[in-house]
Amino acid sequence: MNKSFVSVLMAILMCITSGGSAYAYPVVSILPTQQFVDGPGTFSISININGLQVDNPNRLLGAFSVDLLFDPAVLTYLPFPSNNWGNALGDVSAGEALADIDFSTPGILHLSEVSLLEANSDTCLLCGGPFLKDLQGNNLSLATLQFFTAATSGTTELQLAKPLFVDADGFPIPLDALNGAFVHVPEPGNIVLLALGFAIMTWRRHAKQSPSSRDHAA
Amino acid sequence: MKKSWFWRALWVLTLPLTHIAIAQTLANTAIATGELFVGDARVPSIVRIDPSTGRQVTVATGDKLKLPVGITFAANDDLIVTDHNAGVLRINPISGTQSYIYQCPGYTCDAPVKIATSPDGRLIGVGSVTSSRVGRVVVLDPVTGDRNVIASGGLLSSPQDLAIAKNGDIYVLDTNSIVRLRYNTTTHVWDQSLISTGGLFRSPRGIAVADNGYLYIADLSGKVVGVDPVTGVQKLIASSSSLINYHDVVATSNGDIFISGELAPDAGVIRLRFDTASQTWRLKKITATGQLKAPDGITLARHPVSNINLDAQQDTYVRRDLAVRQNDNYGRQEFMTVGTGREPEGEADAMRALVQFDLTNVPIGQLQKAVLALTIHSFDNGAPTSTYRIDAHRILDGPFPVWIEGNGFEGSGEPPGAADPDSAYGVAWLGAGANPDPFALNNETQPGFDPLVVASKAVSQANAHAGDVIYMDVTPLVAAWLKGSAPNLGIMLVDPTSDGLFRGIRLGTREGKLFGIPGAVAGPQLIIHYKDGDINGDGKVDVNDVQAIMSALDQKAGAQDPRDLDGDGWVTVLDARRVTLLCSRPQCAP
Repeated sequence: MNKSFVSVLMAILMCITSGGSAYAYPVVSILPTQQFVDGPGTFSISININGLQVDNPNRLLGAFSVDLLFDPAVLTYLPFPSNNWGNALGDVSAGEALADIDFSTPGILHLSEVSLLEANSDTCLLCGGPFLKDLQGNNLSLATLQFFTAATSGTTELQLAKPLFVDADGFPIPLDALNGAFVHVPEPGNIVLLALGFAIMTWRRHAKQSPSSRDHAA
Repeated sequence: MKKSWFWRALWVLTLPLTHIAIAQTLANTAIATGELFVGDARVPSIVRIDPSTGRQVTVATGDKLKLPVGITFAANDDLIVTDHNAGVLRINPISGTQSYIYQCPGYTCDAPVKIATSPDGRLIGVGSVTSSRVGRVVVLDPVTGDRNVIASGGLLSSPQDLAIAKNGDIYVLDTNSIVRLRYNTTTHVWDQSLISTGGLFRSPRGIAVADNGYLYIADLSGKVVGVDPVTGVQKLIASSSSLINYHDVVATSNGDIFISGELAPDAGVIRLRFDTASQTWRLKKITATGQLKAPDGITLARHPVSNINLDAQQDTYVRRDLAVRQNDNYGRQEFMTVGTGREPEGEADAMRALVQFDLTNVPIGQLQKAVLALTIHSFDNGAPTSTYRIDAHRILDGPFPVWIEGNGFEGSGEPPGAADPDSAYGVAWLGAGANPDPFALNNETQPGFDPLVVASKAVSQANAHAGDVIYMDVTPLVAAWLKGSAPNLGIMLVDPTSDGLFRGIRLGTREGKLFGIPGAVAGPQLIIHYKDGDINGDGKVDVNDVQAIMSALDQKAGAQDPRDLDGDGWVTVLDARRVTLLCSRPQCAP
């Protein structure tokens, strides 16, 4: 059993043991948490915030910044043309939000976005619309990013760090967890076995999961 | 020693009294665009209201306020309040500090009942001549209180309110009509035109002009009437049998209308917002029951307001140049002097000034800059070649825990409660226990001061004149006071230089204007600037200011960095989001 296979099994085990827990505050995650890539090749991930309103039903996201950490020896960030900011903070291309990805440091993407929109029509002062309330719910997709891996085998991890999530009124949002993700580039002989095993474990996990906990599952 | 305890006790007993008016105001923060300010005639008070939540904060109450009826923002962002029983007041909208523009007790003078600010920053008021039913419109000087009549009589009989359009036209709401005043550039007089009369009007009391020029009238009968300023056609906007006695109205840039009034059986502020889907006006009461008693004049902040102008709480000076002067107190004097001595002539640092500000209501969070403003009253002797150096030092504890301004006065125009400098109580160069002079028993010795010069300014006698203002940046000192790392005991002003002459630079004190002493100039002011979101300093808050922060994320911020709105020492997206809340146009459009 090679090293990459062990790490995949450990990751699957972690996924099963943590899948049913409920969070008191929002959770920021990279999705999918596990994916297999037929290397060398490209793949995408998205950064999401789940349970934004789990402790405060009126909370709206006004801005965020977070670092995405990866192994630059294995992965290469593809800045163009695949960046896709979610519309939760407004349409960046329409001037409703300002967003930036700083990738000047190898292995670190610094993502930041601030909305220029008011919270809602009830409390607005300028009332130009659209409003954050109309764009947001409990779970938001913030950005989708594309990478390239030149590896032909192995597992690498993407992590989140230095989060600062700010509500519409300009105050910090407490977070419960930052969930990273694993990208696996299996050796050709293990691809079928790993894919089958992962599919079975994922099916079992989802079958046992309650509807309420599914809301918070990454 | 017994004397020192006496003066300590006096201070303990009297200081809370002097603070009553200030303590009743509430600590607050910079003002956002759209916040409402209402004068409550019954309390009396000025109340700040968040238009979205209805949350209220009492900015000022009592003190000089007697019966506030009109209110507007001046060009310098102070509130100007017309008061039936007090005259015209200037009130800082954040700190609540009150001062008279001119005092007019009771109905004894022809004070304007309502006031508004023109696009070019002039204060314009309306009222009637007490002895006759002749209405008039005046331009009010915000410093001297002088009133220049620009229109009188004609269609004006008993003006109730006024509104000023973007093009400078003045709409005067009279007993039952609207009169437009338009400046005639040929004749240089204001031409009067009757715009609308009768119709839906019963007892029109307040008028506002929207950005598009449309007029809104609040009627005591519980109606809001819209009036086309060109045709004069009236239209009923809102009417309610349960909501009575509308007093005043203000229109926002987004089309909302806010109305103050007695809303049976309550009182408060309502919002009218046009619903485009149903093509109707939706009415919502935004204030909670019971908080306002008799709201009258209403105005709103058209842009963020972030400066607090504090008048001195105490200001005086002490001198040592003559032995008999060392026990003197000048607490009621209209000036305070800094300079050399008469005997021996020209000895440096023989006259020092002390000034203190109450920072009770000043928030710390977003302090950007604090400037001490001193107005030159006159020069005492000296020569055209004399150059003064005014150093500001932080006053330290002791030998008394605080210094007392006192009540000494010398000269003509003695204000009430004053005593001659010998018999006056209060701070002196040398007081009880340190001065053998028997007249020193009722004085305490001046406090010590930190030798570190906080700020320094040179003033040339040849180039300076009465009324000139000296500005000194005392930001680090005020920041220390606000953080509590140093006790706020005031500032000592010292001139350590000499050119061999007896000389003094006299600076205005608060008593000059307070007691109307002839020749008085403005007293000391502490101008506190707050971060207002205008990062690039172009006078507006827009996307360029947000971008300036986004371009500098995660950089360390200096102590006075305007980009660090939450004051945590870092430039972050939190600061960027806070700037967006201060933008004056939707989506922070430039």
